[in-house]
Amino acid sequence: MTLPLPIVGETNPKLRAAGAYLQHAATEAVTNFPNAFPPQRTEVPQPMDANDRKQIMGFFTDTTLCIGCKACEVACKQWNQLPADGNNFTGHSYDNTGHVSATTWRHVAFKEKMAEETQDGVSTSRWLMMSDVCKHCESAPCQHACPTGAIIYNQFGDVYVQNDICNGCGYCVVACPFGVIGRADTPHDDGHAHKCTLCMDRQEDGLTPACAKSCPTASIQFGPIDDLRAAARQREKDLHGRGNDKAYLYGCDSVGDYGPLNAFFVLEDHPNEYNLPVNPPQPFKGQTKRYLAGLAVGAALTAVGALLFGDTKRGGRRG
Amino acid sequence: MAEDRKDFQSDAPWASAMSHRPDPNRVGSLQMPAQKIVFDRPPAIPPNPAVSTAAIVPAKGNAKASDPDLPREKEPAYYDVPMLKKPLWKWEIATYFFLGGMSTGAHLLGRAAARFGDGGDVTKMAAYLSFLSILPGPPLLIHDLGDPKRFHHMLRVWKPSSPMNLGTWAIMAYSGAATSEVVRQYLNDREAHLKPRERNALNKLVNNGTLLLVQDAVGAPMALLVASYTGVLLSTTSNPLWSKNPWLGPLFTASAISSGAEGIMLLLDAKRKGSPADPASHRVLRTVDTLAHGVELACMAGFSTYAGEKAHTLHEGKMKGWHRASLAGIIGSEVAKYAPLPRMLKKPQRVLSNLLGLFGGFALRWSMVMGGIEAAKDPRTTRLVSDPAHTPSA
Ligand code: SF4
Ligand code: SF4
Repeated sequence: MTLPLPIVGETNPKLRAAGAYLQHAATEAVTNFPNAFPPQRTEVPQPMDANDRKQIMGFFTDTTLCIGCKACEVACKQWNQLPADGNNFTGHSYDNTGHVSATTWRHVAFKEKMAEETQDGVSTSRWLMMSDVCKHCESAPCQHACPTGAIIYNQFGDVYVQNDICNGCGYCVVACPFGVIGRADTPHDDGHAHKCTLCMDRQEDGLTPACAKSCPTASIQFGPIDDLRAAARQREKDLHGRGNDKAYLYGCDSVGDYGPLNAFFVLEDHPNEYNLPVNPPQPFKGQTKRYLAGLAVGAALTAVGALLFGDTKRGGRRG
Repeated sequence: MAEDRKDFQSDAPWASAMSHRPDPNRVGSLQMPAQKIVFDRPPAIPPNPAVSTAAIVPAKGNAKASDPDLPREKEPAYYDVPMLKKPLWKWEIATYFFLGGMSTGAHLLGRAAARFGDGGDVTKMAAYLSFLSILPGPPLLIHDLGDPKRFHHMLRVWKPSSPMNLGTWAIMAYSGAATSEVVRQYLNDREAHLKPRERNALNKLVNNGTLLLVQDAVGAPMALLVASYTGVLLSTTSNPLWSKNPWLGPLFTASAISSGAEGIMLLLDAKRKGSPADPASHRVLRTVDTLAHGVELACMAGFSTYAGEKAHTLHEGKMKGWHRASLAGIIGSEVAKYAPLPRMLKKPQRVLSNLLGLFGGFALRWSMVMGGIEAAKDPRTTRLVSDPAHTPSA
């Protein structure tokens, strides 16, 4: 069905295009009217039962095991049918992907640490390799930001973007302190925000997420989050026992204002070497105070205006 | 074969050859029982304080991101790839921040004049100005979306913890008040053309005290909220320039009030042809404008102190000019306002002062919004935002 809007006689191509757009939009609005407010039609997954920690699923990425084979990156692209990003050459070691984005949900970072760069006198060159991913923060700024409610915690306790609701406002993109979530913005894209779903579709069918399934060294582990955290603590202890005293857990516990991550890591170097923030900001903390400051200033200036206006009135009467 | 696979529909030449195979994307249709995820649970270990790194701390022997002794190239970094995504908000948002601010400022001052003063021309100009300047807001905001036809999804939830959601609801309520105000003003302006009976009806219905009370009870708080939420919106991001900065809300609110006052004064001058008279209410607006400019400068100072090095994109590079323009506009407007000029130049002087003030307000929003893009492009600045040394606690 197409609505008969009077754009037939229009010769100016721009106005014609505008008319065609209006027609399209009106047609969509009429035909989809019952669907205009998605919650009435979309089945929203039940959020996790906060008391049942067994239900919360996460990733533990052990970078000391990563061999940089990129199986996870490829498996993720394939399973989630993500488009290619083009043939880029960054010159950054074996990493031509650069960063996670709307169309790359796993990204394998390669960092070459040359002998002369080490600071403790041990002259061994080494690689830092890490499979980066959405951290599925337990208190996720992107989820706090989302004004449409598109971003939710799903039944596995993971941060999930409902693609039928996102309207591409871009707030989550600036809210994420890890630079993970992105908006698909090329002309043939949908203009919505996208990121790792922690393979919610696979989890619903009882399968392991594609990246963890394909990882040949078990660098990516998947499971109930409390079990993962216990395993990670043990792993850190083992590594220290073997003399790798640089290894430490990143995101296993909360740091400052920022809650723990449900996809966390073992790292061997400064977080910035992996393009991770040292102490991610939790910008939604203290927003009430910031509101109050703004409102107070506005109210005070208006009140001064009101007082002075009142004076003019009285003055006018006297005079 | 291909026919009995209802879920496998494709015209591709290879499709018929594949149809006997199970479709790997549809596990449910294979009636595969959901697997229980088996995870070998390691023996529980009490966290060892000596080992467990409770906080995310740099490993031993590593320098802090901001170690001043470390040369720039030696700082820990990932090939200088920016850590954060750059904001997708562009000219639409900066323009809306300015226009919306001016609208709310004018509305607040106009209603204050009506309630506590004589109302008159100030209230009249404020009504038209606040309505006309909020009008482009929604189209600008919708145009900025990635999927504009879904703009109404903002209103499917009530989620005041998200400043954008709260702001959308506040704009809805505020534009209702601004519209009611402009309709009332318009009808009152046409009073002379009305028959006595209609005039009576007008005074009963439109200038109804209860109605006005409701309008102000909704309009004034919502105007304050629309003026201040924009700053809070920027501060609730991880962008280096904006993140957690407590001065942004007051800064934008003060700028909203000053832009509103300047807009009203310009309209008053446009209406009063050539008259050098400076009525009392005009003086009030001047005073409020000066006070608001003072608060703005104080907030700018606070902003720069809080942001520290993270605000360097305002002081160098593309946004340097706009940032200076905003300061020059604010200070220049005050200088022009109080410069002792001969009487016949009073009107051009007022107009110049107000235009400078408005320009300063616009440049302020522009440099803040666009400065965020510049900040997120700069790899070092994106690292600083998460560095404890550069993030004062809230
Ligand atoms: S890492 Fe970013 S995108 Fe992922 S949950 Fe956290 S805030 Fe959201
Ligand atoms: S872009 Fe989409 S998912 Fe992100 S905050 Fe906006 S509506 Fe929510």
